[in-house]
Amino acid sequence: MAEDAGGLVHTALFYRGESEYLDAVVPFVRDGVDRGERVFVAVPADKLTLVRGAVGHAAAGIAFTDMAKVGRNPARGFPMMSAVGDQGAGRVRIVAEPVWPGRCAETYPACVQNEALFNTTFASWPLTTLCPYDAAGLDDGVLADARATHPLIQQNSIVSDSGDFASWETLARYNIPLPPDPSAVTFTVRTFEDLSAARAFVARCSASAGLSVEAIADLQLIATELATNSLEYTGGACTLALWQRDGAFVCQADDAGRLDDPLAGRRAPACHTTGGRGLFLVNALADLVRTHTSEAGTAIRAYLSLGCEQEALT
Amino acid sequence: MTRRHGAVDSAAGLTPFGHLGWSYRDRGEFFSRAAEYIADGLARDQWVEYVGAGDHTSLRAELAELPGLADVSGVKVSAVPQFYGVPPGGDVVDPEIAVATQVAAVHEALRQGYSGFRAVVDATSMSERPHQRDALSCFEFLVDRQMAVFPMSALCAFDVSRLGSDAAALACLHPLVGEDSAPFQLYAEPGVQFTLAGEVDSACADTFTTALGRIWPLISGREVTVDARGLAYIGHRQLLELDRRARSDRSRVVLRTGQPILIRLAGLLNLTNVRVVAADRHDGGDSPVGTVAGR
Repeated sequence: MAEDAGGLVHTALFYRGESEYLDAVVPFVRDGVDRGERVFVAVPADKLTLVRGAVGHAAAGIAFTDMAKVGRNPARGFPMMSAVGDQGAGRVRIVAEPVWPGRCAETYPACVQNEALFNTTFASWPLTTLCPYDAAGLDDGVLADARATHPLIQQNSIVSDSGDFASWETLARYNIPLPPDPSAVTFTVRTFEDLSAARAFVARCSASAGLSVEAIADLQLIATELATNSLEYTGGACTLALWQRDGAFVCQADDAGRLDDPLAGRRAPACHTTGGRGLFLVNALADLVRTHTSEAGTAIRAYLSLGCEQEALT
Repeated sequence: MTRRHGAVDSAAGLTPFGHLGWSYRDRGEFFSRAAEYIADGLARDQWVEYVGAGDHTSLRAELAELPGLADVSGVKVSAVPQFYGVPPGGDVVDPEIAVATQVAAVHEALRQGYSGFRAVVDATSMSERPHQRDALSCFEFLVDRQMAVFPMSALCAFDVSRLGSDAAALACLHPLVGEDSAPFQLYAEPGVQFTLAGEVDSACADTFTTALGRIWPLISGREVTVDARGLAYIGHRQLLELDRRARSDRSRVVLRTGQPILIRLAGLLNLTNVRVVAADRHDGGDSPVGTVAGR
């Protein structure tokens, strides 16, 4: 592994069982601590316990985070990554497990897009990242996507170039149409003057679905930001659709514009600027945001989890 | 947040006092609201004044035609410049002089045994040019401070057919607004520099920026406390505008809210000069006493 390279080193680790997991992750993080690098471990809670116990005293120099929480909405990862990597304090080493058996399947396309975008967004950053994938528990399609979004693959202690690396093609492949649910109720926002009525509509629908006062306020802000973005950037109307399914309350905005910036909403806004915050805020508030864009229009779908079980990834 | 505030569809029942900004689209609408407002004042033995752009005779004739008022002999009529203390030939309000004139009128009303003072003012003629609106806005903000503590109030009317969207930036400087007059209210409340209520989003971005810019120089002190407990919504762009405004003169805004989402939003925006804090239940009371909010 090109650990001393100046820019990004982005490796997918294919592991089978705890032993292989620890054999790869523990030396990786210990090496980072020994080199004086800042080390972060963002993996599901069970793996956190495993790694923390295995690294021993080195754990004191490592920041541990539950990926199921911080990575619930994958798009939030980029601002966090920017925050840890953009401090001019030398190289940063990260273990980030983006998907795992049991992770919500609806989240998966956003995870793949994140991994694909990671390569170009942080290409010049001094980051060494290791992304573990449970090769025994995840299906072949997931592992194929990992090969397509990581330039390097580590398996059985051997690191090799991924022969299938194709991050832009993979990003496009997961630009999946998002037809609103048949049960959706809709509200069309044609001008800024419709925003207040849109918020009232959101409040009515979400209250009747049993959302808390706090969640309703979140959803009103999400709907307002999505609709405002549509009006500002497309000049045309925006259709808000709301529905409840599989343990989530969903708010989707459809407009006739094309979203050309795949990083929109993923990067932290610059200080003292007023633009570029709408989708960032939507990502900050929503548990998941999915996007589909084409010449025919753009759909942005924001999910608020209701805390119920959702279809899991295998 | 103890004063009545919010949107109303009538000028009736705003007793004993209620500072109301109303953007009207036709004179008939204005006359109806004026009649409602005057009727309540007469019923409560207040000094009532009817103020417009015409001369004494035409205003008296207008007053006599207001619907539903049996006896208007006790209502004083005044031309707009006279009411605001504007010298003959002038058409721009001097805010300080106008406030002093109003306060003197209140004292005179009380001295004569009235229970208070209320006026119906068609302020359109003092609002048609930008510098007129700047001056009138300062007056509205300053006089509203007096209305928060003195037995006085006014219905301030603005003709949308002549002022267009500029009417909203004047109407919003009243705790009470006519429906469709302004989506938010920026007004005085004892103990804070000002109160924000209603909804502020991209639909009224220019209005908010204009109103804020006009009243900002009137706010003293490096720490500006804003009671935002009546604020149902504020967009992130408008929060950033408030932050930018505070940063420009190195003041610090403390925005008191009962909404957790607003605190969260402020944190996400990394505001430098605006701090959003949870409102203390004992700090003026969370209960919207006497509010019209939500109707």
